[in-house]
Amino acid sequence: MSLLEIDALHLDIGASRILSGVSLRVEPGRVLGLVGESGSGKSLTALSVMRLLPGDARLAGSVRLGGEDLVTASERRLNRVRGAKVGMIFQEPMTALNPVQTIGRQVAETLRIHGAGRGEALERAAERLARVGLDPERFPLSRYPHELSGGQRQRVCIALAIALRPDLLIADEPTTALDVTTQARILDLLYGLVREEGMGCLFISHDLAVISRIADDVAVMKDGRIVEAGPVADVLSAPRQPYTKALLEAAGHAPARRSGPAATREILRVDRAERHYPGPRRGLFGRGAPVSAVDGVSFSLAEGETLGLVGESGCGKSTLARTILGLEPLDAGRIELFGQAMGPSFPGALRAGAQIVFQDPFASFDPRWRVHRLVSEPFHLVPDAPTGEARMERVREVLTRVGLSPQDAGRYPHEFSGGQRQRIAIARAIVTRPRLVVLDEAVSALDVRVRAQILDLLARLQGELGLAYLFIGHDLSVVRAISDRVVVMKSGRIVEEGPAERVFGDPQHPYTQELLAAAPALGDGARLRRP
Amino acid sequence: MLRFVASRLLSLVLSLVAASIAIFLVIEVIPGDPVSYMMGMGASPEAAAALRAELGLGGGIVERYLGWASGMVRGDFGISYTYRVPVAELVAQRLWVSVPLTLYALALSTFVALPVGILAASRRGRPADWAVIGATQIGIAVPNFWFAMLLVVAFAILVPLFPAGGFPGWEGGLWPGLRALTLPAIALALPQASILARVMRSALIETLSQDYIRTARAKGLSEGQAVRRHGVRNALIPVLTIVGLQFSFLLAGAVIIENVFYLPGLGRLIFQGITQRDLIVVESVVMLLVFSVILVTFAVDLAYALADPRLRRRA
Repeated sequence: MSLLEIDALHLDIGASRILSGVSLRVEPGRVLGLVGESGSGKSLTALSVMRLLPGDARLAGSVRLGGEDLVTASERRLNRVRGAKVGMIFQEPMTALNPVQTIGRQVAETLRIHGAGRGEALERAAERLARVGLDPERFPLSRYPHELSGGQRQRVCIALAIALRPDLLIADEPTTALDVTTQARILDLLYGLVREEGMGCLFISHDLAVISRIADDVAVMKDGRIVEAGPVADVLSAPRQPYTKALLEAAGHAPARRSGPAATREILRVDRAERHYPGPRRGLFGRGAPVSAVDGVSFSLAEGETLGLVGESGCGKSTLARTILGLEPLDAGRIELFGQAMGPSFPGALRAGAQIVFQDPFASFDPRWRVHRLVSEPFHLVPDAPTGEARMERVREVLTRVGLSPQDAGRYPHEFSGGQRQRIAIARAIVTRPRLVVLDEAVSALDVRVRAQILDLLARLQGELGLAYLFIGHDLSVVRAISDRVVVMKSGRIVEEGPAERVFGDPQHPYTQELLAAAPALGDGARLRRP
Repeated sequence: MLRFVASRLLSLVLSLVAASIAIFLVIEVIPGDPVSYMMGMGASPEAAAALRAELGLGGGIVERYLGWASGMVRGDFGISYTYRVPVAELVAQRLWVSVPLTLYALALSTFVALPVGILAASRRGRPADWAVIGATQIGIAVPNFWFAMLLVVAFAILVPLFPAGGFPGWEGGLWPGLRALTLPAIALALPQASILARVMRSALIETLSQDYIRTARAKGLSEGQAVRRHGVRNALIPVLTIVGLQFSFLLAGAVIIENVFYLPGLGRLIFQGITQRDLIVVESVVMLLVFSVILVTFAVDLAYALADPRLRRRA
């Protein structure tokens, strides 16, 4: 008998079918990776095991944990199972903890709610926090979540999930919101816990490379069904189903690009750029030392070239992008765009020559505007912008160029999928025929297959329009696939710079080496250390 | 936390100074000369000048401001033009009615509104929620003087539990005073409670959709436990804001209810002061209200910091 046996699980929410006959097995001491694209039903499978579903959900089939059927269990019984027999951790460590309670109290609560006394609960909370790497000397129980980083908060979430040594740990995209080096440490921790404590683990991720690192077995999910399952080594190296093959292909996809810049005319020069923010307040009037978001950065970008900019969150990538576009002032140094110094008097017509695509295809549009208005908005920068029918014609033309239909101009953003919205964002960026497009994590929120399509689109547009890209990303394999040159940033400074193949193939700076070692990659055989 | 309190105190003092200057200037530029109002149009210039000096209306503007402000610090608010008694005395009498009435109404509204709002939020979309939405809608819509009259008819005339009006003072003990304030407090509390219950409801609904509530459920907390332990305190910030605003509003905004129940409160004093051009009274009462608003804001700031540790560092 397996630890967790899910058989023919069906889930409907309202009128829509979410899961159709899902069957899975999780064994003690092993990690089952559940992989699939957004909307495939991965998370709802996990929430079905916990029975934490919305009020209008209907569940059929069976979920057996150690022989006990959870589908028919009473709410009272479920409250005894949750936290004690099944622990769960979630994607967003920044919001998963109660901001007004100390971490000690929140970990201890798991113990208290299942019957431990106050003193005993606090003692064991301290012990569990130490186990997940939060040493009580440095991280006393009295800390509040806002005093911790994302990775540290995720450790607190793990501590409260494993406080009672549950038989099963469900981890729903636990490292997706984290930087690669933090991700590597959290994966290590989870793997060690599973092996040491003999827990079974259901590990959900959209990232095949992460699954290949941590999971023993894998199940591939699509549209509420399991399409393929088996040991990780078999499924990922020799997939049998076309969908699994397509996912693997998309994950390692490198768009076809001509190599090297066609022209060498420089369009952007950043010279010892600095951008500081005021330090935290100290006392009534004083402030701490200012924080340097960008600290003496210099590089240049030529026409038609793609420059990849990589680094972990908080390294200053996005601040740098905003200063290049003139959205934020420089504190020192100089930025020259198209031969003109960037500043408040930078002419609008030239400004139209540099556009940006943001990460979140859902948040970067006004939901009440139609597509044609969204796409033609940058025209306000252009002195002799086309008007009336000519403007509509340009909008239709760019929509066709990014693979949408001219009729889409009359629709609203909510009528499109995430990938289509990112196409709209690209259409908006190229409508003024710019020479430079800044792509700020532009493919990071997309599923792998959509991401591959957008990367292809970007490569094609670059060839057709001679665009230069400043491609900001945290996913090293994606940046490598699309960039001619890369710069690696850490704490506001550039630590390494060079041709993409050289930097990724033969990194010189220890930080670049660390990043590359931490980044999970498919087929590199890098497995977690087996204790 | 100490540093937080100190910085809040400093901003309190600065706000007071700024507010007193603003009030002084506004009263200065308001048309209407209290002296000619008091003495009639036919008064001789000499007599008017003498009265002006007596009332402290002579001298330059800076001099007058400093005189007024330093007097206020000492508790000397000047002499009322119309009553010819020290304003401080006048205000103090009224405060003995208005402050207890405000606190009484606020306590009633808070103790009713918070549980009702919590109930509605945790039964969102179910009959209890609809009942709360409907009842609070009525509570906001009903004019409070009309509701006050209904209360008088029901609880002073038909079932004579409480007096219909007037205030016996606190000399006769706590109970007669409280009895006289009960119906006015209920009349004042109804719309406030309705607003507060709605704020509590929507703040808590917002909070209950947060990730940490899901974390709490995954630990094994029941729905009710998750609401009580993790929801309510996180929903308190907007509620505290509204409570703070209501205190300041009730202190002087009760003029209609004071009239219905013949209560000698602050609202009526300021109303009379305005109609009789008794600018010293108006000035002093307005300053007092500003002071109370600033003080309440200070208290609300401290309450925020108690409710939410993230606010303690921001000074």
